[in-house]
Amino acid sequence: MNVLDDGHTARRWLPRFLSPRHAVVNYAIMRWQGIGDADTPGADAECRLHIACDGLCEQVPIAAAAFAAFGPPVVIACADWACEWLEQRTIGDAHGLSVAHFEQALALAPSERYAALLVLDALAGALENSRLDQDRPYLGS
Amino acid sequence: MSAGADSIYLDHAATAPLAPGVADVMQRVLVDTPANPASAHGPGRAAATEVDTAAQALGGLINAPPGSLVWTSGATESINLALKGGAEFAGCGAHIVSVATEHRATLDALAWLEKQGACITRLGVDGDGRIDMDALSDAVDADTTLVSVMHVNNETGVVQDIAAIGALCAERGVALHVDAAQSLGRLTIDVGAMNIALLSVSAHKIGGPKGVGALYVRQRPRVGLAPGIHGGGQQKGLRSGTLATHQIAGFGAAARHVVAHRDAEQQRLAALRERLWQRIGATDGALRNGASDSVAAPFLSVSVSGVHGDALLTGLTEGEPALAVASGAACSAAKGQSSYVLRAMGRSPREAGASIRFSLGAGNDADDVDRAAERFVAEVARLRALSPAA
Amino acid sequence: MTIYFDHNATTPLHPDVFEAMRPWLMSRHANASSLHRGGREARAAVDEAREQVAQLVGAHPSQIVFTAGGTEADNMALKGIAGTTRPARLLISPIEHPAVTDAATALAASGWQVDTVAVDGDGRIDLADLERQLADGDVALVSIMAANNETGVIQDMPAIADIVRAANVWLHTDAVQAVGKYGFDFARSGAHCASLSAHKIQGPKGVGALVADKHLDMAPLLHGGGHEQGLRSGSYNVAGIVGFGAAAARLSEYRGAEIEHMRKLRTMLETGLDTMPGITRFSTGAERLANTCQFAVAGYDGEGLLMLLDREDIAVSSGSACAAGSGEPSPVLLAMGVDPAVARGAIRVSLGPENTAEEVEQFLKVLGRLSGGAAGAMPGSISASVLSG
Repeated sequence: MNVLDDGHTARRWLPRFLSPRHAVVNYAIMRWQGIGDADTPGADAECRLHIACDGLCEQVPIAAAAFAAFGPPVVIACADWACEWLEQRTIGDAHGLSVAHFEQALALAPSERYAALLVLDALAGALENSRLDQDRPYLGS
Repeated sequence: MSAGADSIYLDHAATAPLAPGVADVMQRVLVDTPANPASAHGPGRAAATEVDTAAQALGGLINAPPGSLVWTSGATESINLALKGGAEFAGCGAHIVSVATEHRATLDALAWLEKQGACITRLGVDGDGRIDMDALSDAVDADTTLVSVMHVNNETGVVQDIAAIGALCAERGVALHVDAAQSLGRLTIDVGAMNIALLSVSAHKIGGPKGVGALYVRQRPRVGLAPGIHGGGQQKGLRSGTLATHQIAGFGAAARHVVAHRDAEQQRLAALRERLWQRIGATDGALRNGASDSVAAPFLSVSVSGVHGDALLTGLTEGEPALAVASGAACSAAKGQSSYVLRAMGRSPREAGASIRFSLGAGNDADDVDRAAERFVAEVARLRALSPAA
Repeated sequence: MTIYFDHNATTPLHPDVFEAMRPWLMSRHANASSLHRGGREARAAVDEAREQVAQLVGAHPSQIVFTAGGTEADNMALKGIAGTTRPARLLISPIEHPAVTDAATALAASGWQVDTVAVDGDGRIDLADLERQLADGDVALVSIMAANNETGVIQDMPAIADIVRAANVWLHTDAVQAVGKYGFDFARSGAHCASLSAHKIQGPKGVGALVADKHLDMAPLLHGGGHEQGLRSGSYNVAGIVGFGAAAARLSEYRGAEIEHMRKLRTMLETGLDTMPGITRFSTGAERLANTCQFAVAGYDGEGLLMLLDREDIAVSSGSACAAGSGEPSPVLLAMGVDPAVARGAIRVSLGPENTAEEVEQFLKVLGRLSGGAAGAMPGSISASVLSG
């Protein structure tokens, strides 16, 4: 039992923070269909999620997902993981992503849950905030 | 010692490796002189001699008589003894003047004294972290029991003008307590010439072991202190408890080492520190905390805009190479609040949070500094690129 | 080669303990509060030591607060508990270590009333008196040491705890001497808090602990940084704490065998003492720590005898090391009703696991020779025999 209350002992997600693969700055995509923003002022954290897809129906696959984030390391790790998870899935799957998924995949401590909620908020914004023009599907990178 | 293939130790203000020779002295004492120094028999007297030798060494470092030193478990305890002991001795209506940027040991002890009814004045600092002598003069009045000032700030390395403060206190007849935990072994301390009545020091900041410190208590004129730890009456009743001979001997050995090497080492570190700043300072939005001519040689405190403090610290301490640095003081790091010292100097909460303290020491060389600077610049760039503002 | 019979004053550091401490002295120097890797490793070492100490004394790791020694732990307990309530009554035994007695005296100076519980002729707490004193009311804290450092007397802590808890009062016990020479168990003792010291169990000086029940409300003694859940601020003495843990772990394994060994030697010693004329042994009717034997030699001043033995390279003590040289008869013996003239002659032998039968024999021989010249060792003639020695 750690009585020194530091909250830094677990952090299985650390490699993701140190080397994220889904930072939007590394993507050459010009037009993202969905972009959502959210922030958690109490943690001085912000997250922006970008989705590239050919429509918003349930079965539409997500071609690319990327993030920009500012905040404690766990926020960047959650955003990166979410993008990795999304890229293999569909819009329908995206709607079903929950905090429990993050907790399990990243072994989040209770004090780190807010980061998952932040990313989910940004994702919800991206799914809603579609810039999809039905006649002009996205041009792949 | 500091540069492994993948890590560079730049956190000497938090603690330092044992100085050369100290471990050997401690081992010898642990094995050969295990008796209780208060015991009347032969083995006890041998232990007492080790304690006396250490007192000579530490006394020499601050120009104080060996008999004026009280051994404690560290600077935190020394500070508690000075402040609470001084206040209790003064009785009701104690008035203490201190500074908003003091170490938590001072601030928390003062907060507790305030709850017990003492009157505490906390002076602010300017943008360079220095107190204003006029403000100090105004704050000290006929009822002031004690002035307490940190010689070198643990977060920024900012140096207060203790000689001037001591002179003022002597003029007004008020006792001056100096937290010298970060200045011992770095700056010259002369308790007589600087009119210091009480001085708190720590062994592990100068290459001695952790868990031992000392409080210098002026003998002439005598400073009244109520003890904090009772029982057995050791150390003239000021601080009871079995003396840890090996710890004290280690402190003495560290003091002897420092005396021999201090000035040359501080010059070397000052040059390294400027080299570090030159390489880091080129980064857009990097601010240096404290003016270079009033910051102790090993310290460089830098605030950076556009990055989150936790992310910056984690990126530096966990990356390759890992930099052992600090964000705020080691002791209060766990609380996750942005540095009160930097906020007192005018930094915004976000800037104060996004601050890194480099504290150089023996074993750091130009290569360490260059690699650390490169890592720092790279990590700041990386985090800024990840940010939505990019 | 000195015969060291003063283990209750302090014990030599065990080589295994030094080996455990070594890396933390030599190369692993990080501050346990730092957030970088070195700091976390240091913190992990502190936590491991915490578990080792908890295991030894039958406590939970979260109940261990590391201090700079037993004296600090005693001060923390008394002043810490007193600090959370208005001045009331404090009950202590008359045979406490000065760390408890003097802390109590300091509290008396700020309005606390300090009362003592009676002990019998062997130094055991009078349980009926304890009940009576508690019944008088307004007691905030009782402090009774689990085992006495001079006589070695072991108190019936569970019985004491039953009485104190029934009165709804906090109970502190100074277990500094009890841990290594007796199977002291915090949970079974019934105390709410207990003081421990590393250098009494072959660990390093400068580190101890207060074991404290989670429900205990205590004001901290040392402020600054909030370490140890706010109860005890100050940078961690990592090497010292690691040493404490290693000493505890070693003792958990070897305590039974060591106690038996010391008991055998002590029996040998007492058998020998009982054949000598003019020897009074104290607390013979009570259960005592296996290593401790306090006795007086008729016609001798304890301090003087100590010095004579010191000249023969034998280290013992008269009363507590802390009060050495004070010339006063031990308050512990006086509280037991021992005649002051007899008490003044008291010396204490406290054995350790590394002592041998040969050393005990040598001691008896020397003592026999010295006490054979009893006429030459009255107070006042000490200097003569020292000069002529």
